Parts: sequence; structure tokens; C-alpha cells
Amino acid sequence: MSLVQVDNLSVAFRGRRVVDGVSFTLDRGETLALVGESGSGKSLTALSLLQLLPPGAVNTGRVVLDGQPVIGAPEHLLRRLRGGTAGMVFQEPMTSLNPLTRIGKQVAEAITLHQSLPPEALRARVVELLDEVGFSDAALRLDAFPHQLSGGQRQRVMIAMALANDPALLVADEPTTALDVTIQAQILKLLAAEKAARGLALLLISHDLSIVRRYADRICVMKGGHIVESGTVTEVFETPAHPYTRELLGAEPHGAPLPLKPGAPMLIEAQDVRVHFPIRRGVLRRTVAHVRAVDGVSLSVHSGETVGLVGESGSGKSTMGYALLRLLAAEGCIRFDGKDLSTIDARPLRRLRGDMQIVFQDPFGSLSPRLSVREIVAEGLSVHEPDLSAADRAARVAEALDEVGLSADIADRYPHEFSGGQRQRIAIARAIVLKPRFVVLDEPTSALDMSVQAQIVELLRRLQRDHDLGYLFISHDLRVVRALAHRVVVLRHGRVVEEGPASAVFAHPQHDYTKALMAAAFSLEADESGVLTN
Amino acid sequence: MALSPLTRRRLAIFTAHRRGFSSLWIFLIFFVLSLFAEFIANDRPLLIRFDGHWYCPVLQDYSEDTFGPDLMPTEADFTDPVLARTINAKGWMIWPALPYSYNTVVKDLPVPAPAPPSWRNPLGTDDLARDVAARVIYGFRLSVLFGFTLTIISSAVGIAAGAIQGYRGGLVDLLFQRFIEIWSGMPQLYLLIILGSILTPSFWILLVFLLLFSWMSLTGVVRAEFLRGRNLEYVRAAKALGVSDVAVMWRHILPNAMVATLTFLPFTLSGSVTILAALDFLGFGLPPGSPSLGELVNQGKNNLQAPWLGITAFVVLGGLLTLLVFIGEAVRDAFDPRKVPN
Repeated sequence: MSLVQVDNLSVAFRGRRVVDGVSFTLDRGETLALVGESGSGKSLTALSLLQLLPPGAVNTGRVVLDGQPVIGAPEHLLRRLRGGTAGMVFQEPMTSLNPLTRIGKQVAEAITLHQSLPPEALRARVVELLDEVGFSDAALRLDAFPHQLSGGQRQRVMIAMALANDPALLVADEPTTALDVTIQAQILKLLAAEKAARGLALLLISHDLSIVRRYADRICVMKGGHIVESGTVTEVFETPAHPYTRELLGAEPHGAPLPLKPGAPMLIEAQDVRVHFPIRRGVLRRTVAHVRAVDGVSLSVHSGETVGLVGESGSGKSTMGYALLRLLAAEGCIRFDGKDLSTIDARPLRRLRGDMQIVFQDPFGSLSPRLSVREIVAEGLSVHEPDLSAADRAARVAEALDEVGLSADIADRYPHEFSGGQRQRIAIARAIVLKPRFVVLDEPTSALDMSVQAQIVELLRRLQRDHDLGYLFISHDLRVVRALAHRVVVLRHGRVVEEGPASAVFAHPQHDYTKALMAAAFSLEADESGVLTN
Repeated sequence: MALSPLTRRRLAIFTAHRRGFSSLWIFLIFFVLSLFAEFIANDRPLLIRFDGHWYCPVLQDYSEDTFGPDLMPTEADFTDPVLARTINAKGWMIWPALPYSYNTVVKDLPVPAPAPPSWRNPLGTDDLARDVAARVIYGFRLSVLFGFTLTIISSAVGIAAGAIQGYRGGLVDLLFQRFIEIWSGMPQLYLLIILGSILTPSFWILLVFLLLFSWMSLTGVVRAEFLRGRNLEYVRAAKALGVSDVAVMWRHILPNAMVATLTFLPFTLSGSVTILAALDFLGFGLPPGSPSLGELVNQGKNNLQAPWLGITAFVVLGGLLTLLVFIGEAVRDAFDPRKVPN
């Protein structure tokens, strides 16, 4: 009999079914992946296994965990299952740990909830667990607070807590989505190793097909609360039966950047840009040192060209983007269209802003929830072309919305009514309505589902062709960069470690760091050389 | 006007909050009634028909000799029995429900003042023989209007100050904060006593003086909202569009700060009403003779043998503050993002 048996599981909120008739089984030593885009119901399915659904959710169907039906089971039984029979790892290692408690205590708590151990044995067990998940100096790290650890280390602590009571099942809900690519590979490798060593059943929830392909044995593809296809990895990847699966598989951003026009004029040129944030200490707040977020970076963008700025979080790539647009104070010479931005006054700078625009990463945060789409898109027009009549302004807004593939009749609606991809289109419309020549794209695709990413990449490429735009494309996702960039600049700790034409960098990366990034992004290999210590 | 979905949601929660919503209605009814205090409690008739002419003493002053050549050319006192007899001989008068204004001294009381409630004086009279019901109606209006004016002006000043601090940050913020700390250390009451010995406090002088200190209550929350708001991504996007600082503050950050402000508003209002009553009670408030609830409390304290004074003052002040707090609760719930409308 299987460890997990799910029969005809449904989850409903106020009568609306978000998970509908889901059935699957999972055995020990097996990895089952639930795959789907956001809103497909995969997380709710996983939460149903341990009855951790948010209030208001109504669960029906049959879920049997290790011979024990869980739906409608009494609370004390569920508490024994949670963390005992099944451990759980969540997506956000930043918020899943209590910031005020030392990690040793948090792991110990996970143990004492299910078994009582004498203090010495407890401590030894915690050290053993932390050691197992890859803390080389586990005994010394017991007293660390979560904020003293990196994202990858925090996720390791979460895994240690999930494994604390030798569970039979590990549920990992997007365990690597919030992490850098190189760290992702390490964490996935750790999960695979634990699964093999302990004979765990692993339920892996992910939207990332490359992860699933490498680490799962069987796959269930979910869409709109249903399982539309299931089978072994080879079956699903080689011979996808359902059109949605085929769509997902083909959704990876692809295509090549547009050919460059010869002799395109230089748009923006930055030399030796430095952004230093002071670190202040003591009563007098004296500056004792600087965080060198950007430390002497030079780059240039021609019109019609895309420059990919690549690096992991903390490499200073977004800071560089803000500095180029003078959204942050920076040292160094930045020339836009022949004008020196570092010495320009506020008023002429404001006029120039129409020519250089930015699209942010988070489409949920970058649109004001209180303004309608029309007001959001038209805001820049009222600054740069205040003489425009109301009718002309409406026409320009409609034109911009049309260009990003939205119909003009959505203009009176509010951002919360739209999906992530649609919001990102609105944000792009806000930037291009001013007819800029240079756009900084700050991770515009990383908060979006894979198929939507591909659409946005397509849209960006079309806009570039139509308007001869220069892009600075900031991303940690090398797959998207490969689909768009003509040249690539690799940043690490605020410095350029490698740059060159995209084809050359992708084909023959020179620097170890670039190689490690490539390996992690394209084949999910953790680098053993120690270049990337987290 | 199209309401944003957020506003609609808040209105729905507010109207669903039955205690707060009915408190708002009760308050509004009392307030609108008290705005027409002159037509409810006055020592002048609403309308006079005399010798084929219409007169409206509530709106206009008349000289006494209008009603007969043998009367004096002074301002008409319609409670004077001689005048009343003259008018009634050639026409008629319609009196308001309460024939006393807040400063009318009730003549021919059967007992020495303060007189207990009777048919003529439903809430009795105070120790200067003035009708308590009339004083309460005028006093309610004065308290609420004073509270509203003080709240609105001090909120506006406080929001502006907090906005500048939060948005600019750095040295401006630092200096402003230190100034507020020093300024809020001033002993308000002593300054008021000193002021009272130099100037005769009137409505406006008191208002300006209280304003000097009350604007600080909101700066803290507004400053915090602006500190947070200036790093929001849509604020950054607006800056990248070249929107001016003032427009960014007004369009993008202020709506966030308004949540905190509106949540505080009913409580600030009840605080303003309380402080006026407190000053009047202590005798540092409005000039003597003004219809003030605080002064009524003081009379109640001085005349414990006349419990209708203290009870009236308690019920009216307590009722007013309770209504405001209930409204405030409903407003706070309406702005709570975690609250689900049911």
C-alpha cells in the first residue's frame, strides 16, 4: 500500500472549487512532482495532505497518509502527523523561520514537539541534523539568528527541521524559487541526497520544469485545479499528451535577439560608476566603511541593442540600473545622448526622463493600487506633454495599451483585477507611452509564470524592433537573457567579471563565476569547486 | 463619481458595522439639529404677524417701537410682558420649542435658581437661572464645531509636517524630530493660564493656541507612512517618469498616509471636544456666559444639591464622546486590510 493515497480531493472556498477531483499516490523512495502555474491549485493540494489549509477552505475527498485518513481527523492526530510522519519545506526561507529565535532552538523545538530527549542528547541530535544538511561547523552555528544566515542556509535549516523526526514523507513547496540559481542547485541536490539516504517519499511542488525533469520520478501536471496529465518523467517530457503540457514544455523563453543594425548611435555610456552606501557605527554614527554596491562598472548601450546585466542577488545589478537613470546618487560619468547626467540639474533631468524609462520586477508593487490603468499609463504624459488635450491623451494611452497587447477598454479598471503578466504589460505600457529610447528592464520576468515570461520576452523583442529601443536587461535568469541580449555583462560583488557578445559568453564563458552560473542555470549542477559558497 | 474598488470595499465594511453606522446617523441628526439651534431654543419668536405685516425676529433685529409708538426705541425684548401683550393685541407670535436662548435668564422662577426640571425648563435651570436644555443644545454645537475646526486644521498641519519629514528624511527629518520633542515638552496648561491673564480667550484665540500643540499628534504616523512610502516601487516608478516631488507625495504616498489619518480622525475629534470641555471646566476656556459643556460640568460640581446639572452634563458629554468613539471604531475596521466584509 502506498504511503500517500489521494482520492478525488477537492478544496473549495465559498463554494468555488480551486482544487477539483485530484487523485494520486506516492510511495516511499519516490519523488512525485506537482507542476503547474500560479493558481493551478498545486500548493493547496500539498497543504491538504497535512490539513494546513487557510481558514474558509472546505476539503472533500479522501487523503490517506501512512494508513491514516487525514480529512476530518482529530487535531491531536494531525499534530502527530505534521512534522512526525510528514515534514514540510516552504518557499520563503526568510519568513518561515522565527527571526527572534536562534536556529539551534528552532530545530530543537521541532524535535521536542514529537519526542522528549534529555538536553545533551537533544543538542547532539540538532548538531547531527545541521551537519547532515550541510553546515560544516554545525556546533558553532546553533546560536546564529536567521538574519545571520544566507537564503540558502536558511533553507537548509528548514530542511533540517523537516527531517528532525525521521519523517516518511517530505513535502517541498517550491523549495528553491526564492533562491539564486547556484544555490537552487545545491538545495535540490541536498533534497535528492536525503531522499536517497532515508528512502523518503518526496512531494515536490514546482513551476520550474527543468528542476522537475531532473529530480522527479513521476509528474502530475495541474491546471485550474485539475490534474490534466500524469506519468513518469520520460513519458510526460517525451510524449506529452495534453495540449497544456505541450504548451508548458514549449513555454521556455526562446528565440534569438534581433540582428543589430550596423552603425547604431550610442545611447548611454557609463564609465567607472560607483555606488557606495556608508556603514555607520557608534553613537556619533561615524562612517566606518562603505558597502561597495557598484564598484567601478563601465557599460554602454546602443540604440536597438540589448545589454544583459547578469548576476546573483547582491551583485549590484539593480543598483547599477538605478544609478544609470540617476534614481540613485552615484559617482562616475554617465552620458545619455551626449549629455552628462552626473552634473545635470533637476529640471533638465526631469525632461530627459521621458527618454529613459524603467520597468520593475514586481508587477504587484510597481502599480499604485489606487489608480486606474488609464491614470497609471497617462501619468508620464501629464508630466512630459502637459499640453496634450484629453482626447489626445486618451488616444495615446489606448495606443500604448494596444502595443503591449491589451485592449483599450480595460483602461478604467484597477491593477488588482489583472494577472501578473497583464500587470507587467501595463507597467511596460506606462514606460513606452512616453516613446523612450532607452529602457532599463529590472528583472521584468522573474515574478511571472514560465509561459507568461515567454510572452513578455516576445513583446519586448517586438517593441525593440518597432521603436529601435535600447535595453539594459537586468536578470539572474540566463535563459531569458540568452533570448534577448546582444551583449552580456556579468557582475559579481559590484564588479564586472566578464563581458562580451552574448554568443561568445554563452558558448565559451571565461571566468569561473560565469561558468558556475551557466552550469547552475542550464543543467542545474551545483559547482563543487567552491567558487560559490553560500 | 466612480469609486475605486478599495473605497467601495471600505464603505461596505463601514455600513456593515451596525453600531458605528448607527452612531454616525445619530451623531449627524443631533449635529444638524444643533446647527439650527436658533430655531429650536431662542428667546425670540420665530415669526410675528403684527398689524398686517410679517416679522422674523430670529433672523433680524427689531426695535421695540416698531410695535407701537409708545414703546421705547430700544432693541425688542419679546419676553417683556408689555411688548407681548401689545403684539398679541394686533396679531400673533410663534415661539420656538424652547423659548430661551443659552444666555436668557429665566424670570419668575417659582424656586431660587438652580431650579429643578419642570414643564417650562425640561432640564431645569443652572445657578444663574439659565435654561439648561437651551445651553446644552448650543453647547453641543459649539463643542462639535470647535472640535471639527481644531481637528481639520491640526490634521492638515500635522500631515504636511509629517510628509515633509518622512519624504525628505535625513537632516530635515532629524532636526524636525528634535524640534517636535522640545515643542511637545512645553507645559500647555501653564501657558494657557498665562495667556488667560493677558488676553480674554475667545473661540478663535483658544483655537489658535491649542493648534500650536495639537498638530504634533499626527506627524509621527504620517512620517512613518512617508518613510515607508518613498521606497515603494510605484513611487520609484513615478520618480522615473519625472513626476515632481510634490505630485509624488500628493498622488502616490498621501493616499497611504490618509488611512492612518482617517483612522485617527474620530479619536482626534473626541480629544478636541474633551480638551475644550476640560479648559472650560477649569475656567481657562471660553469667556463667561458662553454655552459650554465644560462650564455645565463645573456647575454640576458646585451644585451637588441640583443633580440635574451634573447628570445632564455627564449624559451629553459622555454620549457625544461615545458616539465619536463608536464611529471611530467603525472607520478603523473599514480601513483594516485584514477585515473581511461579511
